[in-house]
Amino acid sequence: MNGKIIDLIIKPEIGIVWIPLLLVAVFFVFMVVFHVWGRKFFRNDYNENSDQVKPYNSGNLDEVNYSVKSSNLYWGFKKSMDRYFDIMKKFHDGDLNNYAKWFVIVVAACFLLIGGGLL
Amino acid sequence: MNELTVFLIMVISTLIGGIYLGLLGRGIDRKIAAKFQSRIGPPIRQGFWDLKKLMLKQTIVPENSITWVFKGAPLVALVTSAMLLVYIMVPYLLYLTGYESPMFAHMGDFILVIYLLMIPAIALVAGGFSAGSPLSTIGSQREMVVLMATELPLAVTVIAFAVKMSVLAPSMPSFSIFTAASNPVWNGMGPAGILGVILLASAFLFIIPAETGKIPFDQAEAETEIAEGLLAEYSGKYLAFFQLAEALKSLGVVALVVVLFFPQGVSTIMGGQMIAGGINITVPCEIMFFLLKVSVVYSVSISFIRVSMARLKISQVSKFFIYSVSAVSITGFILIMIDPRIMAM
Repeated sequence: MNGKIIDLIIKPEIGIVWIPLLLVAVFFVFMVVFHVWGRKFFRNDYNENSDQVKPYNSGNLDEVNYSVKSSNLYWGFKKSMDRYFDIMKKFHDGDLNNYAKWFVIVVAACFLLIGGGLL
Repeated sequence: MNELTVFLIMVISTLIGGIYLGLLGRGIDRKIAAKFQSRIGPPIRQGFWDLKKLMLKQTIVPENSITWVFKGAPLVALVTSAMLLVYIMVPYLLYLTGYESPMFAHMGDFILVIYLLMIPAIALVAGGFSAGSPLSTIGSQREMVVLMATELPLAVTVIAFAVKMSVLAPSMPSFSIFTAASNPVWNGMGPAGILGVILLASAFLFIIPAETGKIPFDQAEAETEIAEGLLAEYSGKYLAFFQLAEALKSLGVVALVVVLFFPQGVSTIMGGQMIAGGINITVPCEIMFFLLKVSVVYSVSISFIRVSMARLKISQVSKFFIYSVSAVSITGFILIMIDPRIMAM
């Protein structure tokens, strides 16, 4: 049985680590090791019915909105590419004729680059 | 020795050594940073003491958190960081120790390394979002933006290496860490190619602090601004797991840079085995030399950059990576491609 498992995870022609089964096994072995370490050597208790469990809000006692709006989720990324998004928004004007035009242009460019041997 | 036994010994020793060196690295980094700022700084063993302290602290779970994500994220981050280190180090150590077997020829793949680099960051993001705190949520949002911004230069660098390896060693797999370690990228290239590699290395100089969340790219934690951000609600066990994951990931990323850019061992440089008093000391020398290279890269890319720069805004980070660092890495890639010696092969 052991021999069969080892045959399954070690294939000389493709090496050891690239066998997904072994990677998954390593993942679960590490997970069990760290989980057991966490259970045995760390404190797992806390005072459930105290202010300890309230989220930290810099001393502000008011109710706050705990979530970031989904429109702000990628804020830094979108902000840095403002110019690009402005141009792209102009292209997305909702007119199907324009979309079809761009589709034809992109397909023609792909044909030229790949079929025409430019790439 | 049986190949599976060798593999298991390497994995276990890399994991234990990685945890020790990761924590030691944190201490050395803090000491170097303190010296730069004319402070005494904490003792080098501070990382171990912090871990010991966290073992004695309560592990609080916030009332409005999504419990299973909040508890699971640190574990996933730690496990994947450990896997990243093992995945990079084991093939390289096998190469350094001269252990040759066709079974290990394909070990370690750069594409998987990119994914393993992403998973701890995604676990951090998930943990921060699940904590139910406004500061954690902002930290997670920032971490996600940094993660997205660094992907392009990282991918371009890895592809440039694969292209180079496909020319240098056509019989070996191009994306293998073993191939990169046994065929130093500086070899067999003209001035254009060498300039290209220098550009890729300088792009990596900024990718390392971004991947490890260090100044000037520590917007996700930003102690003075959003009170540790995505770690604000973590304590005790889970905070220790995240800190350990960060230490292992830092070591893994730096080891990756050493493998990619400076893979030459002592025996390659000295041109043969090192023997002292009739005993072959090549392997210990190789490991010591590797640790020296890791310390130098760690000090330059993490400690030196973080004391010499201030934290950027999140939009500036995004702009910096999307435009500047991507441009540098793409230029490096093009220079490697057009190098006359590469084109002639």
